[in-house]
Amino acid sequence: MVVRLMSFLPISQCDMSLNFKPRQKLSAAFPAMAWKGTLLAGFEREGMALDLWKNNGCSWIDAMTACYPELGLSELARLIGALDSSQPEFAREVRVGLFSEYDLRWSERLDETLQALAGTPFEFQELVDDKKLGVRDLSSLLLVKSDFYPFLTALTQIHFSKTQVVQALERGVELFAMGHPLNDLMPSGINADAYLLQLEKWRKPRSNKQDEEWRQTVNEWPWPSQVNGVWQRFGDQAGLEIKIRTTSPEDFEKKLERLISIRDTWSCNT
Amino acid sequence: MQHLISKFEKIYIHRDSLGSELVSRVRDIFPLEKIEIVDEKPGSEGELSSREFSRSKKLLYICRFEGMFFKRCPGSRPGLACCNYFVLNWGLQCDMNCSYCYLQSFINTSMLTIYSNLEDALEELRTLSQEVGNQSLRVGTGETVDSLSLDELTLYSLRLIEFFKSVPNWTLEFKTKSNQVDQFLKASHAHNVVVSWSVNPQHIVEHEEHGTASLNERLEAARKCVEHGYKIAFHIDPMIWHSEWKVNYQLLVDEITTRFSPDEIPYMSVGALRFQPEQKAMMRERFGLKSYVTSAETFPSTDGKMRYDSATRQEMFQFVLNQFKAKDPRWRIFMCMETPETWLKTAGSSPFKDHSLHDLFDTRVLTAVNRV
Repeated sequence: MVVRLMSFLPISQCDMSLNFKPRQKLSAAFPAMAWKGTLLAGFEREGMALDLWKNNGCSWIDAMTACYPELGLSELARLIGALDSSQPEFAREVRVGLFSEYDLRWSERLDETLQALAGTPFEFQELVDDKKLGVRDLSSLLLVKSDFYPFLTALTQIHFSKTQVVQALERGVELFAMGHPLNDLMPSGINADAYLLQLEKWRKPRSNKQDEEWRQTVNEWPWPSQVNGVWQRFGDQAGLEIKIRTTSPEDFEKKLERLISIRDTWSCNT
Repeated sequence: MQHLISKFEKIYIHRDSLGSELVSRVRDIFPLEKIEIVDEKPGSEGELSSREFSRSKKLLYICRFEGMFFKRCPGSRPGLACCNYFVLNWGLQCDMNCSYCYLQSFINTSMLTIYSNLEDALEELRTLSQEVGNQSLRVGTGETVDSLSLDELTLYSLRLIEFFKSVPNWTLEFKTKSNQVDQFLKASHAHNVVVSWSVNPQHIVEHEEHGTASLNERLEAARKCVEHGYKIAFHIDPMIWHSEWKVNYQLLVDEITTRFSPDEIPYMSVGALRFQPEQKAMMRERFGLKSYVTSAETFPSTDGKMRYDSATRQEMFQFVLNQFKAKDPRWRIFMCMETPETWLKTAGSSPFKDHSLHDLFDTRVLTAVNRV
């Protein structure tokens, strides 16, 4: 029986340049991991690290994916940024293979998005990974410079769903690029729906004004009792949504008759 | 030819295309140092960055196309009232640079591609003509490339016009934003060729249609075509909302109606700005938010595209229709890529019932072609 000794080296002697601040701490059951003397996992630890290259000759990509079966986009952005800074040639060599392990196809667009993301405030990067945002979700970041970062930080203070984060980001970026002052765009409360609605109103002022005028007009129409009509937007169309509460066929007929007068009022308004 | 030479930084020719007429012309026109023979397509495939997309307009790749050249217009899908239109694609990507260009939503190849085997496309048409050659069919070539902006190089118009002499019931439609027509003006034809221009007010040309011919140049080219017996058409598409839109579209209507009569233009179409949601990122990156297109107030439509509010579209269509009809009721105008509801609210009837547009929307032809 051949017993092979595990190959450890002191963490203090490891190259720490790949510390990309991974969100998931390495399980206490495992030792810190290194590859050819560069620490890959267990950055917060002291003591010894297992060198996976010396131990079993695995590739850098295999070592990384063994340490981190899943990584968020922000983590990947920080990782490739760290690798680009410390070992640029090696980064070019492994990036296609690395990203394909995480179901991403390396492209100039992906590279640009990761660079933009890596420059954003850390809290925002955490939000991106919490919500599992993808490359397309972050396309508006490509228009952003550091003067917009306070907005990104402010987004982390509101309880958004994934879809809402993407919408808020896109509307905020567009409004800023269209000349809206950043101070006006910053959220003043923490109600996600209300804030998104406000951004939408600023982004589409003409349509919003028309809808608002219709809403007020419709509100003043002589609706029969137990009939509720509101002006609603359905995508690229806007119109009346009518709810009728009725108790009998006779009552239903009466209400329909009275609704005819609403139709006539509407005709006069268009 | 100097403008063509300076337009492209590099020309890649696939070895399989070396014997083609197109490659012979390319070798005659372009300096040797710009040409490279390749065994496979250079460059990367996949989602392009905005820089790669812009650069793809300066790199030309010539290769054979092994698929089907001929297909139905993308407007022919449930929910849209589409005219009787088929497309023949002999390339991919455009050398011009409109902010709203829908190619930005799907091109994933880093070069402007022209297929060298047009004879295979003509063979497809020949086969089809044996089945439906006696029915009326409209075939356009301007879906994935501009029909004419590179025609001075390809001369494909001449070969297509020649073929269409054998199918007089069919109509060939070139669709362009260029003024490149001189190369085919003197060709003999069967009077079944429509040269059409996508037109917009000069203000929109300058603001959104970069690298295209001016409105005046397009209308002058159209006049030349009329004088040589070609039918012409204008597509006021996409209409783009901006604060001065009424003034500018009025000017456009005036330009068209003072230079042409309804007798000279069999039909015109109007359409409003529309784009795939996923196209927005590329447009924003390439044209910023000062563009009328990227800053537009658009909403998701039932077909998934982003469009202006339906009331705004109706107002715009109605305005243009009224202006034309006020000049002369004989102007024939249809709406492109619009829902039956918009037709009803704007034109007051379905296109399928409009007698003057009956030829364009004859569903019997679609049925016949689908059988083939």
